[in-house]
Amino acid sequence: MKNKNTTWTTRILIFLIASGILLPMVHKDPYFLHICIIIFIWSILTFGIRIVLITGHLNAAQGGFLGMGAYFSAILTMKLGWSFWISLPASGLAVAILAMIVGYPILRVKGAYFVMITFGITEVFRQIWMMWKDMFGGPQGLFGVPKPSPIDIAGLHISFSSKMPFYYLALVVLLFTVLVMRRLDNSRLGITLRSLPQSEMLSESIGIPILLYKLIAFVIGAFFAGLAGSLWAHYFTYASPDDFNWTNSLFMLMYAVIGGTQTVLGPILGCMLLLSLDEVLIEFQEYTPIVLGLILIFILFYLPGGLISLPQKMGSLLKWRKK
Amino acid sequence: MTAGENRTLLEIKGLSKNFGGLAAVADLNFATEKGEIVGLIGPNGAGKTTVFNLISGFLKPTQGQVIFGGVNVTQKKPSWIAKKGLMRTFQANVLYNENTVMQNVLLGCHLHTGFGLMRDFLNTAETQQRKKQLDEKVMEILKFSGLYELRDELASNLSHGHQRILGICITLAAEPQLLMLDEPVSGMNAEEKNNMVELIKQINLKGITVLIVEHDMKVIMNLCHRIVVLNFGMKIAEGLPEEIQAHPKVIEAYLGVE
Repeated sequence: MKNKNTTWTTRILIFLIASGILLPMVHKDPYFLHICIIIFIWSILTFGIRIVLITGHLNAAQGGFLGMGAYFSAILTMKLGWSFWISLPASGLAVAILAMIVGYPILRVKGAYFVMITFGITEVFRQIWMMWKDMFGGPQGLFGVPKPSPIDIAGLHISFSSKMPFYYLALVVLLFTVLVMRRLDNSRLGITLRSLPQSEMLSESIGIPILLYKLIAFVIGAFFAGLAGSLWAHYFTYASPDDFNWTNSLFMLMYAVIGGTQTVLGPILGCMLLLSLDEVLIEFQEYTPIVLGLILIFILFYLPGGLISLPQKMGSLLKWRKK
Repeated sequence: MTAGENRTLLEIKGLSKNFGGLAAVADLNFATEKGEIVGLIGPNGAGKTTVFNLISGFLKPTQGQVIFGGVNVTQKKPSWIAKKGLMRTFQANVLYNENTVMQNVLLGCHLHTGFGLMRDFLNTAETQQRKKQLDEKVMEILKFSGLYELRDELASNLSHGHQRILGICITLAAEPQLLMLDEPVSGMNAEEKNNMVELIKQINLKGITVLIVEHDMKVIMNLCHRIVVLNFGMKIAEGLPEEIQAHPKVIEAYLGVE
């Protein structure tokens, strides 16, 4: 049963990757590419919130980590003159180190208190960006973040002035995220992390240092938020404090829960469907939160495993009918 | 004395715990030797579970020391103490309910996987080999405890008796030197009790020292080499099962005096 599921997940993943690579060759509309890039960046973020979510913690600081990644990358390229290709991993690492410092004291706290603390952390970050004008540009943020510098791969000169190369860049980073997360899921770390919310007491009693494991999940999540932030800053060419507030964490949570947290497909599916829905409903923009909220309520009631569990649910329903 | 000291596995020295003004455990001293089964009994509220929590690190003692295998483990974290080989089960059925029996026991192997997280992440050939060995170890434990047939069942679907056995299997996978069992036969019927007693004897034969809290006197008298009796957080008697049964203070604590 489990093996069957994993082979299906692999098949769907390969299909998604293949269509991700081929689609822009058929459909070159820049607006379409823009939506895809947004979906890719949000998927990376959603993966980051999911890895903490499976330990039973809702990390509302993810929105703040996204912003920190964007600002770090902007500062590294604009003020220190680093190349984007170095500042992308560097901002991921910087945010991971930040998460390590922040996470150590706060990961002892559970449930609603953890949500409130991480929510507070995002707000503290936002205040820092607003107040520290010399470094972070104050309320209007940092403008003129350069596009990624051109590179030569296998004799091809790739410049990032158009959307297409950035599409592939975001896709590569997303693929990297998916690969890492998938390996984590099947490894001892993933299994242990998923066991934590079931009984922390039991885990502690058989020698699992739960604080360390939670910290590892938190830091990995923050690392990917940092990467996403860097992509964000260099795609939109600015980093502004208004973009990085705690509601971002809520949206990530919604995408993860609606898509399903069981497999790595969930976050991708959630981001794809809901962000496309956002675009479809763009005429009725002020009403989209209502639609999203209704979808969330429906999913929580009838599909607690998220959209990814739909085929399974349908299967068991059909069996039940036959009986 | 020197020869005796080498055999001592767990030593409790002047252990005390106050909850506010209430002394749950007061100046408790006892020791267990390697290979023993020691019973810890007493009326309800005598502080038995508190003693377990103090030894395993889930509670911090107000005073006193816990020495395990010559190492002072007082004030240490439960996971740190477990790493030294001191494991415990819980009074309630604490399991990974959403996982299968096999996965539950596999999680118990955490301390003895033999590979780090990074090598596991990279999934090298050596790690895969090691994982197969772990699976075999899990199967062995399940066969030993009689849960083998139920290996693919979700832990939450097991009967109460099987859940209690699974709780012990998880700790066995962690390869304890000292296993502390908190009321292992509570809520069981006669047949299940007999099986559990047999299982605990088998575990002891493997060379694992057992410290057991239990209300069922038949089980305690059947299993234990030595018994420590607590009342109101204080030790009122210690000795062989026969001695304890005839001890006036124990009879007083359980039945009261006229």
